[in-house]
Amino acid sequence: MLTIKDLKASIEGKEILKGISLEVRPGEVHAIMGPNGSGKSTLSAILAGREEFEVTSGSVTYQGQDLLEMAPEDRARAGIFLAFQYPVEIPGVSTTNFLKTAVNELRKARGQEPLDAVQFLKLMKEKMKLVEMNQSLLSRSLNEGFSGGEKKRNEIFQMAMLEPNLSILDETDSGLDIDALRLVASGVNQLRSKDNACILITHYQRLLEYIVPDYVHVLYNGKIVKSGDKNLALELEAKGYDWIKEEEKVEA
Amino acid sequence: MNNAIIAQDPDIQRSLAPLQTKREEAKAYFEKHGYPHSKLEDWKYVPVHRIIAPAYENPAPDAGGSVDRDAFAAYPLTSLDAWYLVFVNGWFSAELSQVPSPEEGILIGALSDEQVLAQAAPYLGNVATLESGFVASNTMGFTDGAFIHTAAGKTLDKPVVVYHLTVAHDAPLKIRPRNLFVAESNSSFKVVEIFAGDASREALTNMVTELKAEQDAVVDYTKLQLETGSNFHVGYTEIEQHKNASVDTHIISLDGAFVRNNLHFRLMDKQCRSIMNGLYLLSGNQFLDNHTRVNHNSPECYSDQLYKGIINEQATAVFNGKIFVEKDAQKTNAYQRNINILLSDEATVNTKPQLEIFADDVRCTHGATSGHLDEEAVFYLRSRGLSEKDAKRMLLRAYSEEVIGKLQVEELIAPLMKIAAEKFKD
Repeated sequence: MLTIKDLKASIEGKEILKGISLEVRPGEVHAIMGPNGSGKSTLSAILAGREEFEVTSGSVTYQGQDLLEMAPEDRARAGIFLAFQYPVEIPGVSTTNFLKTAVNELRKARGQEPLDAVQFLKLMKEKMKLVEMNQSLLSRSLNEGFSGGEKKRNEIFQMAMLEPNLSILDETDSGLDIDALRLVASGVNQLRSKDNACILITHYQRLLEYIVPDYVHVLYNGKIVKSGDKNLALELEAKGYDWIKEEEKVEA
Repeated sequence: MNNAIIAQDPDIQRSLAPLQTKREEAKAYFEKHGYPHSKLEDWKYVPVHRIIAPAYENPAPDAGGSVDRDAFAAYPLTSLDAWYLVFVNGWFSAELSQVPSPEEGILIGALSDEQVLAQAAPYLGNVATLESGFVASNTMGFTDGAFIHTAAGKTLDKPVVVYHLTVAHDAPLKIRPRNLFVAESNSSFKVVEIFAGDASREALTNMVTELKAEQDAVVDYTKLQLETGSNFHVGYTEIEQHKNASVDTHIISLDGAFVRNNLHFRLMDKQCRSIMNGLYLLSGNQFLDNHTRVNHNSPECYSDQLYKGIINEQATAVFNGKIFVEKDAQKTNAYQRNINILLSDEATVNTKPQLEIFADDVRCTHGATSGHLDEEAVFYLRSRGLSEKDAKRMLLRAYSEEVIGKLQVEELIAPLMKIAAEKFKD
């Protein structure tokens, strides 16, 4: 579904990603872990289509298409969803408001008829249950005055509405208390299927107790330095990132 | 030169003594000062010479009958659930207007009606001061205008639309409407001034509106500018409030080549409430200058101002907001915000808050920002599948709605949002 080959990227001449390769197949959940400054956010930014980074070499292919050539909206329409680490506040635009346009844009891209107001509301009601979202929050200005948990639940709610093939969750666990984390994780788990895939970007192992990944990759200094199954996350939790840093030093 | 301009004015005979006196004063002011120029601080950014240059003709009273019902219906907002006073090129059209049947204590009419003028004369020129050549020119040579008077305790059942239609094709026109709205104590009304039209020649609208809100009166005033690209507009809305009076204003400027709006409040007694909502959406070579001033002359009053603008292409916006808090005006609450979004590198905005506070126990805040559309928000919406154009349109719509959504004549909200949206179609 997604193939990243030797991806290198820099910002203002400084190389952040130094050759990343990753293969994500339908049905898989990949966790990308790493200490601060390892390049996690840069990777998610590039996958989402932010323009401030310069890709200097390598390729990203999504369902046979060159992802790097696609505008952010075309990525969304092709089934990619990014849950933002810091969801933006938009005064005067409610979730309901923009999501109706978004859902219908995606349906159009899939060759489906647009939903009318009634069908859209029905779909919303159904998906709201997933993350225990309430209607009033969705009618308010996006993220304005939302708590950290509400912001992240809103991201997962949108994910449920847009039914992506590939979801990228960028530090969705950061700043969440345990109850909010459970809600978010249970939402994500209910959306898992054999046809869609998920990349979890996270600093902590905590989220992976609730969303069990098929693969865990450790990103350090712009490279994937270790890959394994869920046990790698536990090992990291026990030994800390210093363990990886030490190993890197030895190899160097 | 000033005398030459005065000499071109038609001699509109108004026999009433109070008006003659005002007219003489205005003439004397104009002889001395003429029109303002850019060396004056308040007119610094304004190319006045551009709008006074054409050889204007003064429309005659028969202009009122020059547009029939069908033609009028083609203009925006002509069929609201409201009373209508319609003026064509500054003159009243009885045919296009619709006023309530006479009722004790409520008077709605045109100043060209001798009987209405007689009722209005004692109030006329008492709120607007002769502070510029435009006010003076209007005071000496105004054509016609609306008079609304509600006696103590009266409430108007529907809003009154004062529709100023400009149709200029044969010659450049100078149009000078003069309106007077008086709400006696504990009375209430809503009034909407609409400026629209069809002009292939230059048309200068030099309007003065005076509004007096007596004790406990509640007035809602909206000014909508939907003029064409050949229209020049210099407007004065002068408001005087007495004890515990409440006045909301909404100044929405969506079109017109050149606009200078002056909105002045004088708070004469305690516990007045004054709201200033403003929105301007500019494109092309439009020039718009909003000057507002609140004179807090009395204690315990509240004023709140929010002016928002979107400036595209080569358009220019100016905002100047003055708040004066006099020594006796303790416990004043005065707030002011001006926010601008620039959509192009060639767009210009000059914004200047000006607070002068002589009392010590007050709460005043002001803020002015000018920037581009929030790129993070655009990216967020695009990452959900909206095109860049749709994302921007949605953000601009929401931005405008914060002001338009506050209109108390709610029937205006949907059509105005539609007109506003048209401005960002591309």
